[in-house]
Amino acid sequence: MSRVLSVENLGIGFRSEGQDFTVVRDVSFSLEAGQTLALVGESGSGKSVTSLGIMGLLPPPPQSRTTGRIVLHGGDGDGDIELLGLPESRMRRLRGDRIAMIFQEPLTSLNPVHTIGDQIVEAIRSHRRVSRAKARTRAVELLEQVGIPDPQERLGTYPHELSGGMRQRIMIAIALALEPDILIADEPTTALDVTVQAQILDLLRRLQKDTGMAMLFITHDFGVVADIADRTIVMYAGQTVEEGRTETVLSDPLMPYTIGLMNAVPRLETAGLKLGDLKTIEGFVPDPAALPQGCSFHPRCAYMQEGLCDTSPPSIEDAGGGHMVRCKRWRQIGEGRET
Amino acid sequence: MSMNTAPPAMAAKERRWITSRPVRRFVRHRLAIAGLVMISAIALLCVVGPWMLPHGMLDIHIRDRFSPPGSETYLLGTDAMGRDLAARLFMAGRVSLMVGIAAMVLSTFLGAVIGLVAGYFGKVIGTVLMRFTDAVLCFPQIFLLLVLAAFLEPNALMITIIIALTSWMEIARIVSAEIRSLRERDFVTAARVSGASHTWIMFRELLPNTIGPIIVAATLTVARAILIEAYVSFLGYGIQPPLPSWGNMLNNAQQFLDTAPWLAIVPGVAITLAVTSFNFIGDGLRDALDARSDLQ
Repeated sequence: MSRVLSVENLGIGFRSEGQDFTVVRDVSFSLEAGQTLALVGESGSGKSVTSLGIMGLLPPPPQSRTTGRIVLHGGDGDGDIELLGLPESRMRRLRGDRIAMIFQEPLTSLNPVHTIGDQIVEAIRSHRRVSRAKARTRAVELLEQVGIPDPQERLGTYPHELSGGMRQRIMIAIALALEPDILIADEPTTALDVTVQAQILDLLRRLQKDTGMAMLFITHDFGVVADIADRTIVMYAGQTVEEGRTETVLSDPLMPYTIGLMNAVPRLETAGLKLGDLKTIEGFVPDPAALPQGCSFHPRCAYMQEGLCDTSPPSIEDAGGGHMVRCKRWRQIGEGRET
Repeated sequence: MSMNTAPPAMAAKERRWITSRPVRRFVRHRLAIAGLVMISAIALLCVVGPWMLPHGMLDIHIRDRFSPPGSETYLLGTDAMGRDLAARLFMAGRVSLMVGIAAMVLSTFLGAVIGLVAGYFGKVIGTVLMRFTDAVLCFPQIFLLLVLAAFLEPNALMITIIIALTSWMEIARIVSAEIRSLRERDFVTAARVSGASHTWIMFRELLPNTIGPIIVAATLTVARAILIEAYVSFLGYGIQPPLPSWGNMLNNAQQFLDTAPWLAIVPGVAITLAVTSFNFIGDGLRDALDARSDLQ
């Protein structure tokens, strides 16, 4: 298993109306070929910004600034590439080729005025010197691969003639056209029906097995996480608050935020109960310009201990076997569960 | 793998552009079709007309001067020098329509590129370009035209260029406004993510999405360019005799308005017909291509 991407101490900040604020703080992780890493968190926790940072798609300084290191490890002897500070022209060649991305909104991610065949062909030809005919053959292959029936005929259709699930398949086909090492999937199933959602997840898993690409999967849905991720990072207010193998994080969460998120997932057992039984985490993600003192989660935390959690920020600690937790009280929380 | 989405796409395969929704809507627009028929007829007459007539546009028949329309071999009568008015009208039509269409092509190109760049980059570049556009727009177009025409040699090419240089602003503003909303859409981000360059995104991804409003504005620009050409030529700064244009035919006619009114009426009607036809087509296209309903 080889490492394809390392992110070290990533920090991302924005400047707006003369005020600086940090939205991602000290995030580190790595992606392995054939493995899936899930980034989980509420809206505003910094997970999408992280993915845009990796793609080099954040607005240029001084509107945003990125610190730390993002290293793309060379697959076939072309060495490691430091993505931060890479000139735009070189970054552009990597985008779509080595790192591809799919989005939440398949309905609007395709250009309405070009046929899907053209869009796939152009995605290929923007990076490879191949003939139109060859690119078309590849496009048919790709559509077949993502499970679209009659691929030959579909090449001539426009996006509005296809359903949401179909369009997401097309997006996946475009993303996979150049066999990238890394696929970043930013909530790719959120806008889809549950049944279609399952199909798309199946498809991504199958494609990952076939191509050996690494996936960075951004979501707020623990059901999806359990389904697809090998490792999971839970983010809150721009920081990693819990990280580990997906089974460990899901079955034995130690950070109160993760516990809260898991409780907020609607379950079959609660389905018969009245609406008020659906648990939520009180409050909102803090404004990045005005983070609370101490642990940034303490104002919403059920396990908050005065004088401990609201004084100094917790550091991330290993709770055993690479299960990382950012909470001063993880031991008590873990013990509480044992008894 | 069970996919139940086949039927709509199958139907789509059969669809041709001729039966597409915008085309159907355009065909149902009666005035637009009338305009299209009219313009086609005028263009056809201007192209083949001069060959069908017995007299050339420069042939002088002094004895037949001021023949009223319908007399002998002069379909629309003759002018003060006894030249066949029909032959001159058709030749003038060639000039006027050519100037109108060429000016439209040029100004549309100019306006689209400026609007595209301004809308896409926004910030400083966009502000500078759009303020420049506003500044040009503040200039009274006719005076600008007359000043330019006074300094430059007034031939058809120059007139075309001058008209184009003074009428690209509307298209620039339309395109820039469209692009500013389009550039925030997900397919632009998707294009960037797949490694597309700015030029590619502007010309391949964004511009085709504004083609509806551009076509409408361009059609209306033809009508306006024809009017402006007529206006400038009427004032004597445009197309110079003996080459006829609808505008300078009117100029020649004004001193004989009471004795030979057809000299003014004939080119006047031609201008009116051509301009209203283009306007009708423009309206029809606007309804047919209504950008908002078809973009999704």
